[in-house]
Amino acid sequence: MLKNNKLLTFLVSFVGTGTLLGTGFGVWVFNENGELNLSHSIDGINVEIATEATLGHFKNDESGYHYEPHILVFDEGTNPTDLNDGLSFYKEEQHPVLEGVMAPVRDDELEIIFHKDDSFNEVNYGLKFQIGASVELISDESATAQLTDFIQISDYLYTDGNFVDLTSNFEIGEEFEHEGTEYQGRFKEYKYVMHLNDLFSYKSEDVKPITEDAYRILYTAFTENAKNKKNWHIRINFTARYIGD
Amino acid sequence: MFRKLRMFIISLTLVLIATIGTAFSIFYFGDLSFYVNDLDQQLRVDNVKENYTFGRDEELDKEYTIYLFPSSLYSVIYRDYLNKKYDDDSNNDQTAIKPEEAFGYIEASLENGSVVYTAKETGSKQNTYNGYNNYYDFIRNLEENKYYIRTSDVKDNYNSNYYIDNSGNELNESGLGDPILVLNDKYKDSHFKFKNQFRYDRFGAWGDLYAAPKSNGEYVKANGSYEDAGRYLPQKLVVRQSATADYFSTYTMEPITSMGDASSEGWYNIVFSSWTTFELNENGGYENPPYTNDQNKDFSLWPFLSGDIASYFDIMQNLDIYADGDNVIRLFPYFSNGKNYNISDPSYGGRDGLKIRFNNQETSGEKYFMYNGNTLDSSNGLDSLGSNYSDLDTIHYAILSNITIDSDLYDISSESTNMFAVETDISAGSCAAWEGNWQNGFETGNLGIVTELLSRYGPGLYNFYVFVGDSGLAKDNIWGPTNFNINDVGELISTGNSNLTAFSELRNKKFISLGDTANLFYDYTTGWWPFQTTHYVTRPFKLYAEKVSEGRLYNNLTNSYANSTELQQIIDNNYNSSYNFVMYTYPIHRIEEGADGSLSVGNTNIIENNPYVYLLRNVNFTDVENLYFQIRFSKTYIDNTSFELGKDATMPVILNPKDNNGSYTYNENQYFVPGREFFSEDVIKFSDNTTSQEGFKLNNESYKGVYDILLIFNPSTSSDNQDVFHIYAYRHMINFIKVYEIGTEIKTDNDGLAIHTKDNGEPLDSQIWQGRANLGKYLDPSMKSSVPNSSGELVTLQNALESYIRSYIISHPTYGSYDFSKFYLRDYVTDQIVMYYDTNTKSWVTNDYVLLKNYLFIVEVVS
Repeated sequence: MLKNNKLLTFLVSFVGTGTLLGTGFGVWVFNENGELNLSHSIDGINVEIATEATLGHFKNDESGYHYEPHILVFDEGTNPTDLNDGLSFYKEEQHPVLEGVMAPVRDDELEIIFHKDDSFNEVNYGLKFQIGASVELISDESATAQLTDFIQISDYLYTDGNFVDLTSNFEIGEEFEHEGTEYQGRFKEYKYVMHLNDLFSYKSEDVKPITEDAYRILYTAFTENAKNKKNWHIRINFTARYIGD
Repeated sequence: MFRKLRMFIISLTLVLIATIGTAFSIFYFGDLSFYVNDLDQQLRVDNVKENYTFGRDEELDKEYTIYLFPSSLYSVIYRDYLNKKYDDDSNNDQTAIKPEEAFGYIEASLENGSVVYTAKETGSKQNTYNGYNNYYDFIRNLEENKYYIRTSDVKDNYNSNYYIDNSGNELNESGLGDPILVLNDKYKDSHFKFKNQFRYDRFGAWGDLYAAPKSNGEYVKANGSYEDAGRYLPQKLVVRQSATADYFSTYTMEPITSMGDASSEGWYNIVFSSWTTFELNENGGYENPPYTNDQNKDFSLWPFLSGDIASYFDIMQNLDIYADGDNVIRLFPYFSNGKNYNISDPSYGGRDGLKIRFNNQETSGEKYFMYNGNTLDSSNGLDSLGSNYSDLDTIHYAILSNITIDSDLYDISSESTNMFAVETDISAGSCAAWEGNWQNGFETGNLGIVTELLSRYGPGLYNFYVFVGDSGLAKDNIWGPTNFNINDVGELISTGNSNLTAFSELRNKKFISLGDTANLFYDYTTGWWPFQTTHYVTRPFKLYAEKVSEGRLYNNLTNSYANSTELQQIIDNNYNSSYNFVMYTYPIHRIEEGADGSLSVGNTNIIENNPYVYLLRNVNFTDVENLYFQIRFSKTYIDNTSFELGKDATMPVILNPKDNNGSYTYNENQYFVPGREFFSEDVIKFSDNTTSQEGFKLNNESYKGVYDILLIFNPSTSSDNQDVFHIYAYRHMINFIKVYEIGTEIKTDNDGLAIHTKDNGEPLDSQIWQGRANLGKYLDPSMKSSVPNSSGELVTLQNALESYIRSYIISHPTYGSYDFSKFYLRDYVTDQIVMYYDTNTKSWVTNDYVLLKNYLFIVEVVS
């Protein structure tokens, strides 16, 4: 285990997110205006709405270990005008040679495995969807500094609200862009690798720590939040968006 | 295990991931879908102070705030500010208002692909300064009362009962050249507000933010919000280093205005020509931006009137030349109808108007040239141009800057309607009416200006110059002088004939000759009726273009593409808009070799009067997948721009060395070597056997790094007429890698910055090694230190580390043997393991750890 003298370190409450698991899976959020019941919104197409739906899962090894980045380092980068430069995500891993030594490894990959049941292709052929991520930058209530003051979803990504398009548009009857494998004899798995470095950028040159002054702004934000036991969170909900037929 | 102290392990961020599984039947539901990472979550920030100033030249890495004022009325407020600020009465400083602070401003942002302008800081400012002075109240009145500036339709309301002539109180003669002085309340009412505002072409507004009146007198919304349209407010931009042409065209507008002709009761549009600036002196003095009318010149003798051409704004220039001490740039519009007029009787229009008319597939427009007030005559070297110029008493020139030429602009050679034309006014009479009588100045025929420019120099921005020979007003020659030829005047002036003392701003310009000399016609009369004589005179004029070079760098290219289309598309897609060359305007000296073989900085500024020197800072090649790159001066690849990797094989150049009484000094990052030290052009073809493009390549993988790239224009001196840009480069260095003993505690200051030296600057006692490297290099155990050890030796990282470990083991006998595999280097900021010992290979391993900044590494030991 990595040994750090963490001046202020917290664990996060999962209460809020746990609530998400048990609700809301009977509908698909088709647009940012609200939740629509698909069976009512598309006439003439037999669409079943399942309950307790999930779209997939995250890559994990046999022991259930998940490979998600969980350390975010803010630095000055090498190009002051490139807002995507200077934010780095790390995963903590067992060092391959040094026995018993855990160490962060720079790695921003987040691999999600989508599940698709091809047996419904004919029924739903023609419906078009985008697979994407609903990304939220959250600061604890009453935090003195907001995460959104410093980072944002990269400008060059297509976004609609906080929906980030991860795939080109696909039709239900079509294959995903990524090759699928059989899953439990019926379903196919489709992998998508998200790069968090592509997803996030500094909000502006003003907050990118390319000068001592900008560094101090960031430093103050960190320390004030830590003093008040306030955290920042990045929440990524994988979802899909109906875009027409 | 030692627990090291790090400043920034502050809070935790959570990549909190859940799936909103949505309920579509084709997806399988019920698998593991939710996971919350409960490992230590952290946010960190690099707290090595030197990394926040490292690699950046403050001189060129400035942030500029640009204000674009829609009306030259603002220039009066700014002039008032400068006068108060720099007079001897310090009390005036407190009352001086900067024009951008007077009324608020608008800012542009991108929303759903569209540029949206939002007014900010309006109300409070306007209330604060209410009654400041007449100029101020005039704009405030317009903004608050939503007065409306009309263009062509104002003619409908033009009423002779409200005619403004120059004999009444309405027009104050003493205010010539400063028309705002004539304002009074009555002009805010009725039709006056449609007239006087525009006289002397001083007032303007953002046409795109227009609010047009309904028939019932109410106003409709403009730009989605009538209340906040900000059509009279300045626009604020903040840019770093430079404002590219693309950025400028995307986020800025051109103001509009219009003008009444009091004499003929007509109403004629004049248009925005260019942005102008105040030239500021160090002592607080200033030069006004040019006005169309120059009250100091006698119209009868000087038909070409204007201010100083040097104060027009060039997007591609080093912005420093326009900025004040706070890096603020204020741009005021220059409106023109291309003419000059009699200052004592402005109801007359002018003559010798010059304009370019161009149409594209969607819009058409006219742009008017801006005359330069200076002239070239016998007193400053006209005769030296040769006998062909002997009949030309005077040469004038006019400029039209930053005109976009692209492929959707029709060419006059392909369109019968002469879509691109230079026109002159040939109105009869002593002065032409404002309306003018425009005719094509060129025998347009097969001139093909657009085609020629696009094919040879590519789409993008161009400046146009017109040189006009003055036949001499005293001559009564119905066809003008016969012995003139100004076909080569541009080249002669640009090549810097030593006898020429005029037009120094044009020295070494690369003029693109367009078409043959043409004649500009005008007439004038002398004598009194009935003895009046009309004189018809021709003036020769010559049109040139100058490509405004938008230097761009495309990196991460390969040398193999399937076809020319793919080649073009892929390269275009690799354009990084942050990589734009900026004009470099400071001295550059070459390293010279003395007779004794010694090297020193030469005295000659090798780019003096070279208008085409460009610098691009911080080109990041550290993480490119492919080593090829390309430099262009246009959005599309143009084959006729040639680059070479340095003029001389070995001699570096020094950017802006410090002159200490003839002895020059410089820092490491001012030392640029010929580009061939890092790049090669031996494999430069991207070819599908039909198409190839010139490019460059990093010499090999080890040259991935960060560079500053300098381009110096070298015009051809031989018959091959091949101009060349020579490439020089500086490869960035990191300043230090410091390695510390096991257990070293890096303390921090109040700002959380790491303290890694003693108060006297000496290394901490626990430092065991310090080195340097090119940025982008791999951490290498064999790299030599940059600071001698206690024995005065430069040792490798490996030797220093192993020596330390041996001594550590001796003092910690529990280890028993010299087993390097128990030790490793960890980065102080990120905790990464950057070097460890592999017992299988019996060597230190860095896993190609790339050095991108200054580092503090600490030795750790496996517990």
